Parts: sequence; structure tokens; C-alpha cells
Amino acid sequence: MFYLVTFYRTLFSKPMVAALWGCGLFLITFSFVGRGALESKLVLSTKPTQVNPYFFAVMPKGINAEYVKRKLLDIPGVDKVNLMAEASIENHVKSVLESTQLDWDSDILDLNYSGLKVSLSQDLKPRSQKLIRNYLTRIAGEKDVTLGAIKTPRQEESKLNLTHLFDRVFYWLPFAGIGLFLLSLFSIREELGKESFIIETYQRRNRVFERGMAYAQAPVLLLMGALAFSYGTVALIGLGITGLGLFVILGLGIKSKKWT
Amino acid sequence: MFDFHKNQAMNFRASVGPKLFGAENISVKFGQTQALKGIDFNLHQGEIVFLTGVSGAGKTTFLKTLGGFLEPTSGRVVRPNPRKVFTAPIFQDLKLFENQTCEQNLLSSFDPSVYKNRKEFDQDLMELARILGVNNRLDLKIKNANGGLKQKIAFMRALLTRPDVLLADEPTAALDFENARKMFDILNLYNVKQGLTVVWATHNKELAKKFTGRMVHMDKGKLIYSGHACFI
Repeated sequence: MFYLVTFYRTLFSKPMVAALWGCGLFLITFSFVGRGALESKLVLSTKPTQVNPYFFAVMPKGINAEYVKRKLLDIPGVDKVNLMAEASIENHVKSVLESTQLDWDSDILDLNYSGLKVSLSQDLKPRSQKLIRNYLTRIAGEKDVTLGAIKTPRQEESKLNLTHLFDRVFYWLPFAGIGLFLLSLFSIREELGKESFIIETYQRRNRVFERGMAYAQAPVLLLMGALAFSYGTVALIGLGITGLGLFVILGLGIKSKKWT
Repeated sequence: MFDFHKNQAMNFRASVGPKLFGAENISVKFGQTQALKGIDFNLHQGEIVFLTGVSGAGKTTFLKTLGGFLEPTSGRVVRPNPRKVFTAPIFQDLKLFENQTCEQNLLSSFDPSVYKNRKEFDQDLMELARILGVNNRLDLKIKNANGGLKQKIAFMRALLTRPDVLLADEPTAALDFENARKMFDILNLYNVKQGLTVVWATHNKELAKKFTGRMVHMDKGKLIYSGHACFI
């Protein structure tokens, strides 16, 4: 207890170093246990409502869109079918016509369309996608239905990017944490060396620096060890680096222990 | 601890016991500078030795070598087993923690293997503080303390370890004669009651002559006199 108190007293006498030490420990722990929670939270919040490939189908209102929807949902490969709102279809059609820069009169145009958004299953082969589109053409009528191209949502791409980013960040995070942790120990080695020197000089104790350092780091190393066994190689590397760093600091500390 | 005022006038010595420290032809060199040259010295239990000499004579180097803080370049220092004979130093640069209070610095000496409990330590601390007149300044941070107070704290820190040997390097450099006298009286009392052995380095030969003890004089890294002060 005495050695722990000596270590923490020295550490907290320098608030900045103590903050570094805390950040280092937090990063090390977080890098091993926090990924799952953070990833699910971030991915869920950015997860699109529709991530499957989809296409639009427009047909006259005379065709029973509900019937078409039911028939489509019965076949494999169709994930979801949404009926589109009338106003949104009208807007779509108008914007398409405007973009063509043709003269047209809205009175003579029949804009009574109903629309469907057909979401397909992920990883559906192009051949199967084509079969579904053919089936839709057959039940709605080849002349009446207009099909849009199949689109793959962009959100899917961003999710992949996020996963890739997570891979990179969480690969380097333990090293950053270990770096901060060792830096904090390195920063207090002189103070702790002086404190140890005085204690060894004025009390009947010896190896105060080494014991203080070891006792204070033992729980941390145990935590790292436990994480290493739970999470595998990266944690083992981290454990190795931390251990090595501690030895280096101990060596430097012992050298600087003489307060002369 | 003791009643200081009742014992203040004592001018007798504890009987001299067996040899504790021995320096056999020791020399210390810092680069090209020869700090100590072939010194032979013996320190016996219960002795009070004044180590005198001008600044740069080698007193500090000799004390550090004797205390084990410096290794001699040649020669041999025989020291007692630290588990049996505890040696407390008073450093010339004091080595106090500037950001800590006087009391926090003194707590460095609280060794549970020496004191029964913290209360006993506090009693000793307060008694010494009262004698030295620092009992109302213990909350002061060292960085705000004057030179005299710092020296008294360093002196107290060493004495609170209940040492067998005290190696004091210029412990009264920043103090007037009255305060130096007080310190010497305390050491004298410890010497008589507990057989404390003292080596007191000072450049002030006149001060040393006023106190009783063996005088060892150094010059240019050599020990040139060892004996009673009246013969120097």
C-alpha cells in the first residue's frame, strides 16, 4: 500500500501527467472493449432505412398496384415493396419532363400514375434480378409499366468505409494508448526517483522506485493480460510493448534515482 | 522524547564505542579535479566530529563518500550494516520538496518500523518543532520558506529518523549562532541519551571551536588535522 500511495502521490502531483496516464489507460482499455459498442451505435445511427438494391416501377393508376405488390412479395429475391405517394410520382415525372426541355402541356398529359419501389435481396445475381423485372412486366403489362434502372444505395458504401475506418483506428488505438501511458510514466520517473531517494535515505526501506512502479502497474498489466487472452494477438503485442516500455522506464528511473 | 530545557546545559559526552566507519586511503577524482587525496579516517560510536575547512576543501565530497552517496576512485570505505546502524544525512542542498509543505517533507521520515504509531511520530515532530521555534510554520510550503526554516526542516527530517549516525553537511550555514547553538544542544542531547554519532561539516572553524567534539580539518582534499579543537 505504501508503494502504491507513493506512486499515486507523485503521479497526481503533476495533474497533466496524471491526465496523460488516465487517457493512456482509457485508450488501451477502450481499444479492446469499446469497439463493439461504439461500432454498433455509430453504424446503427448511420444505417440507411433501405440498403438493398432497388428499382422503381411506374404504371397507370388503372392497374391495381396493391395486387402487383402482393404478387411481387410472394417471390423469392424480393425483400420489400413500397407504394409511392401520388404527389411524389407527379413531381418525379414533371422534373423528368422539364429536364428534357420539350414543350408540353400539363393539361393534356395524363399524370395519373402509381409507383412502386421494389427492394431486392442483397447479393442477388443479375440473372435473378432480371427475372424479377420480367415477372413484374408480365403481371403489370408490358406496355403499361415503366421500370427504372437497378440502383445500389450509396449508404452501403459509406457503411463499408466506416468499417474500414474502424479497422484502422482500432488497430492504432492501443498503440496510442500505450504510448501515452508510457509517456506519463517517463514524465514522472525523475520525480518518483527523487521521492524514492528521499524515502530510502530517511526510512529503513529499499527499492522504493522499483516497487512503487511495479505495484502501481501490476493491476494494469493484469488487465492487459486478461484482455490479451480475451481478444488475441493485438492485445498480446500491446502487453509486450507495455512490459518492454516499463523495463526501459525502470532502467532509466533507477539511473536517475540518485538525487545528486 | 526528552525534556530539552532540563538537559540543555549538559556538556559531557557519551562514551566512545566501537568503530563504525573507516576510510582507508580514499581518493576521489572528478575528471581532472582531485577532490580527495588519500584520506584515512575512523569514526567511532558516540563521537561528535566537526569537519572543518574552507569552501572547496573536500568536506562535502568526503561526507558523501562516507555516507555511500559517492564511490571513491581508489581506497576503501568500511561502513556498518545499514540494518543495524542507520545513517541519516543532512545534505548541503537540503533536498527538500519545494512544492510540499514543511510537514509533508518531514513525513518522509515516518517509518512504521521505527515508531509504534503515527501519534508517537507526531509527538516527536512537535517537540522538535517547538524547540526549534518552527511549530507554527509547518504548513508553509518549502518554496515560500526562508533559508533558516529550510535548514531546520532538513535537520528535523534527519533527526526524526532516530538515526545512529548523523552526517550533517553545513547544517547551520543559513542560521545565526543562537540557532546553531540550539541545534548543537539537541545533537548533544541525542548523543548523551541515545549514543548518536555525529559528523558535522562546517566551513566556520570558530563555530566549531565553541562546541565540544573532535575536530577534523581538511585542506585541498587532504585531511590535515584530527584532534581537539583547542590545539588547532
